[in-house]
Amino acid sequence: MKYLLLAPAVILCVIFTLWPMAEVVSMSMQKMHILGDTFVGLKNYARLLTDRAFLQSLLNSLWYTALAIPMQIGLALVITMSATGLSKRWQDTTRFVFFIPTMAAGIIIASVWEWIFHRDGPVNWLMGTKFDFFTQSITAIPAISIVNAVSGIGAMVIMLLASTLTVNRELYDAARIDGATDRQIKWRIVLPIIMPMVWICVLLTAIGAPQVIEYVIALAPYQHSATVAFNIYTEAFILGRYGPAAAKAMILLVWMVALAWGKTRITREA
Amino acid sequence: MINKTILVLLAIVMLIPLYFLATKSLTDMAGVMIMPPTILPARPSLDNYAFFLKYIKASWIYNTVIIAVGTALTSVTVATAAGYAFAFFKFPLKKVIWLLLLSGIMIPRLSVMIPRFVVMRKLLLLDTLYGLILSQTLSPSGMYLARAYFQTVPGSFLDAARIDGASEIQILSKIIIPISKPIVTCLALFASVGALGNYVWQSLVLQRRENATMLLGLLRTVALDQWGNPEMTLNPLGRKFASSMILIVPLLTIFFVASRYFTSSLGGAIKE
Repeated sequence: MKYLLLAPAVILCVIFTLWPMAEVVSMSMQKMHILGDTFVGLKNYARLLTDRAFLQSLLNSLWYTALAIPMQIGLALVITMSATGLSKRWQDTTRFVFFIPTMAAGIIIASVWEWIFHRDGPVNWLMGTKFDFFTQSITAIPAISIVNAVSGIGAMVIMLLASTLTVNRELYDAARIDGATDRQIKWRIVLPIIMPMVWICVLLTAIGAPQVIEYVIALAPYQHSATVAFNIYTEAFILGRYGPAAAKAMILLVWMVALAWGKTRITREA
Repeated sequence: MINKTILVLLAIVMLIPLYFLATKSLTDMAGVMIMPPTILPARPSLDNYAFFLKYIKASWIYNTVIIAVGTALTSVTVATAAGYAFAFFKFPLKKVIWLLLLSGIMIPRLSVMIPRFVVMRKLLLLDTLYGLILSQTLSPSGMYLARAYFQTVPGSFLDAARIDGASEIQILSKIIIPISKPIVTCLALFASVGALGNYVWQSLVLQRRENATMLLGLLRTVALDQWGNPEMTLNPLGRKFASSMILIVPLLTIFFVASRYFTSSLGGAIKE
């Protein structure tokens, strides 16, 4: 009986996760021809070292990460700290409202961001310029990071607010009796207590940033703004070079699993 | 007071793109680019929507519903069954199997996408709706949440049912799932919203025009180069806005209706 309950999950996991993962390892060491595949060892990996588009996507991904962490964590913390101490109704509404952009995220919302950053759009109008944001790295990466932050912070607000609820109410009262202001209580007492959750959010952001793909496809599908995910996607599904794409997929896998492992360690301590 | 002001201001900033999406989808070309952007549609027009009325195929709506409902049903069934087994039974290699099942959480989407596509091709699952559903059925975080929720059910409760002669399937379907309604609703919604929004995967798996979902169908119709050139427009942005609205409104409606389940269970889902 218990095996019958387990069977569907195990079968699906084998077909759609374990088999593909074995496949990607072997694909990354093959050259694919029409007539069949040949084993080429680590050649696909060696060639990545001279693949300029891939190297740029790695560098870009670091930029995306560096921009995403302060933007998303900063915003989520300001929202969380403003909502702590407010009534349950305010907190519920906060969770709900900031999650709306997360529901309407990805390719379906990209059109309005195209307009916002259009050369005749509102951002240029506010700055009095006629600038094409998506045509060069230095502006495309921050612009996409902003778009991604708006759709990403909803989940962080929910997690951070949940962790503030674990703070002992007596601590607030004790601090207040000692003359601490509302602001001091939040940033000096509550923040240190929820710090493990903040770190989880930092790692989640670092995991998410190199994997941003739909906004890149929709807004700036170019080498100068590519994330690693977008580069892999192009290599495999636009250029049809599965071998090198699989090698890149392995690099991304190692990068992400390292971060995920860090997150699990924090989760366990928290 | 200052806290509430900050929250309201930030909320306005975050929601303003959606607001402009809605109003600008209802204007003609000149209206879209009027600066400063007007609060109400400056030059109202329904042309952007009228265009889609002509090109939407009934099969896209049907496919979208099938995928939403199909993924929700299969995903909840698989996750609750596995969660139940892991919460209440002992079996050999339990820990190893659990970790393997959960490994999907750590694997980046793009790393597994290429080989999964190859596997789907080998199994002749490409360009089929059930292939798309099956490939998105297993939800590691859903299983994790289901198990965590079931573990709060006292074992004596189940023993009592067993003594009364209930089978395991009956216990799962008549006792466990009814008392786990919030989590089951939440898993169903995650599954269908996730499957409907997964543009990259859909665009790889579903290729024929009649197999498209609303998402694929509308986006490919807007991107005139695919599937021929239906009708040029002087207002390409307005047309994109209208397609976005048609896709977003149903999603947000589901979210508004189910929000009380959503936000409460969500924290745990993402943390893992």
